[in-house]
Amino acid sequence: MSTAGAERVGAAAGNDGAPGDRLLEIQNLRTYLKTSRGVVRAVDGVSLELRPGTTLGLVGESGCGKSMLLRSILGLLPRRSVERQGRILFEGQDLLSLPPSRLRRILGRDIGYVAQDPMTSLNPVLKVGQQVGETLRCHYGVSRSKARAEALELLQSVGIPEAERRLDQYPHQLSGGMRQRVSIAAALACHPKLLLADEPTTALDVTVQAQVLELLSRLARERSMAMILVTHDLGVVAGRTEQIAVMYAGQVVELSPTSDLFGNIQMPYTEALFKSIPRLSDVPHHRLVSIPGRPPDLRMQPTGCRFASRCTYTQPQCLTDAPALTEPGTSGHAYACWFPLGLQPEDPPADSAAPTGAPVGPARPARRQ
Amino acid sequence: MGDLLVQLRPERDPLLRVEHLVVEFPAGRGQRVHAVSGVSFDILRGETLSLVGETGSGKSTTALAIAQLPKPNSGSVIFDGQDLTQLGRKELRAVRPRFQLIFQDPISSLNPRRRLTDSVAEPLRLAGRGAEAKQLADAMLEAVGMDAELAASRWPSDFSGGQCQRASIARALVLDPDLLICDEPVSSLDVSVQAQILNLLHDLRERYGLTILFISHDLAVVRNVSDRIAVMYLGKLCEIGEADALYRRPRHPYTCALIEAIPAPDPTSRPKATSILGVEPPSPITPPSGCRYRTRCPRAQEICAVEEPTLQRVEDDHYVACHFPVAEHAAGVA
Repeated sequence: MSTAGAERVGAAAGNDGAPGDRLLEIQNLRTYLKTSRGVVRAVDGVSLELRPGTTLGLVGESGCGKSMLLRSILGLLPRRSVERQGRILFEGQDLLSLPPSRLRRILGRDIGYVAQDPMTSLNPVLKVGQQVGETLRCHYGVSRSKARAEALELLQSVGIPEAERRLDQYPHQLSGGMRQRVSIAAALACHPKLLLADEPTTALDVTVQAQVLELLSRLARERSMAMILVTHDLGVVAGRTEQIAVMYAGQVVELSPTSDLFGNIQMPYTEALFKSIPRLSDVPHHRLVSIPGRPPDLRMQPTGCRFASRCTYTQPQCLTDAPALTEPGTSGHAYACWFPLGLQPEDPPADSAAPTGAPVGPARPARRQ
Repeated sequence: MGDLLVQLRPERDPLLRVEHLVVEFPAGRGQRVHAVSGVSFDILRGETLSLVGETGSGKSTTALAIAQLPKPNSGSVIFDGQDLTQLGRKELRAVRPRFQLIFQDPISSLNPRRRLTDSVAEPLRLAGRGAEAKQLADAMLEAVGMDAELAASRWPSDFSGGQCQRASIARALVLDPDLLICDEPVSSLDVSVQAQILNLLHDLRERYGLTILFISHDLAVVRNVSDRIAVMYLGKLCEIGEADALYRRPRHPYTCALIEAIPAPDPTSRPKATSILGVEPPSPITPPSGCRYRTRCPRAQEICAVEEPTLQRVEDDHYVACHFPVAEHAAGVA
């Protein structure tokens, strides 16, 4: 985990896709959507790698390109109006240049996908058992009865009580948490090597969220499955990932091993996300820290750092030059910022009870340009 | 139903007093959904009460029953001395401007074919104040941090969820209500926007002296806005009390489970596997006998299935309905 980031930053386009220890390698991916109102740069030069069996948390606000990145990997984009550049190497094969017939053998079998809203991602007129067994029937041509037996086992493994009876129910007969378990079961049917989970718990209650996250972590561990977990909440990925990538305006702005990130946030955007999480340890009627403004319009040609207009530490240089994602140390912690937050550790969450009137950040040493 | 309502504070002249509220819906085949089963609480003027619980605990139904949408099956809702359940259509219509609602999904709660300003001005027009509607709507939009000029020419689809929620808040406040009922107002928003809206509600409360009923499934979210917290489970109150005491010394096992479920933004802390509620809540059509939480409760014993616990005072303004409340130092937030 520690060296992977270093290689990636140094040689984004080099190293001709030797499978080696990398399951997924995204090289300088650009996904542009051509709309009637201009070109939307939904993903704008993202490079990431994932080793087998590890979990990456992809974090950012709505409209930062997280979901578009996942959908670019899956090719779940309209063919006509979308342009994808770069390479997405999955076990050494470039998903962007594979013909659809080959792709179909990978997607759903080696790469599973769990969408945010299980109500709309499940087919409302198919029974649960059919939907879970469907991928098995497609990819391995197993018989109906075999698929049903497998589906039963899968439903049990994701913790659905009375799984036998649930097989013949329709999605609307299940609660939100149960539906999400069903879509996880369906995604896991073919034992994928990589699971892409797009905000799998955002539509769920806190208690159910905890159950579903625990389930995903357990399954990933048991099956040595790699996972990309997308969320807007840093709290969700804190205890469950090896690496975290923070996305802003279509780009990765901070990438770090999870163990290093929380005590050592470098990018002001990550800090702002971190501080906007409401905490139990806050005093009542304490003012929450929010990020002013909203993510930029991805149709605009950006100049300088894309976060500059919302950043509390903006300097003249931020407005003119775009910082690249660089990794100064060897810990695998990379960030795109001209004036990183320095090495002063953040307050641990338990100590943040002190009321703070200041906008973002504790006192930090003055920065020099 | 003659039990004492120890948690009420009639001597302090609350703005809203809800007593023995019961809401049931027919579920076919002679069955009934017991959505809210005898809930009682009060809210003092200027106070914020948060109603917390999982989906299906009856929080939203309680909120809607207070607003008489529809009227509850039984129980009383006394708003500033008047029992709303006893009022006729006309009388109710006269009181309605004094309590307003904000809903979870800001985009679907605004009419997509109407410009934002028109949506915000509509309550004024209905109240027969059409002449000043535009001006007041603009002022209120500015007060919630929106550009009134932009709102006058654009539709909800042109705005983000957070912006639309601001407009919904403006619409709710434009008639200058006494009570604002917020039904999961930030649940569908990003963490960063969530903070903006919570801060806004906090500011507006100070500025307009609002009394707020705030509904959420997330105890961390209500931390900053609440004076008092009521925890609901399957149509019953489990615990109610002053916010700080409830966070520091949660006494009901369900409250503890809700607190422990919140993901901490700290890689070293993971929720204890044992504390995660493994089982789904039972159906409100056939709620368990005795204590309704017993089927998921790690502390449940025989008596819990037989006898329903009533709210008991455990300390100043802190009441819990549990036969075996959690010891004071066992859980809670430092």
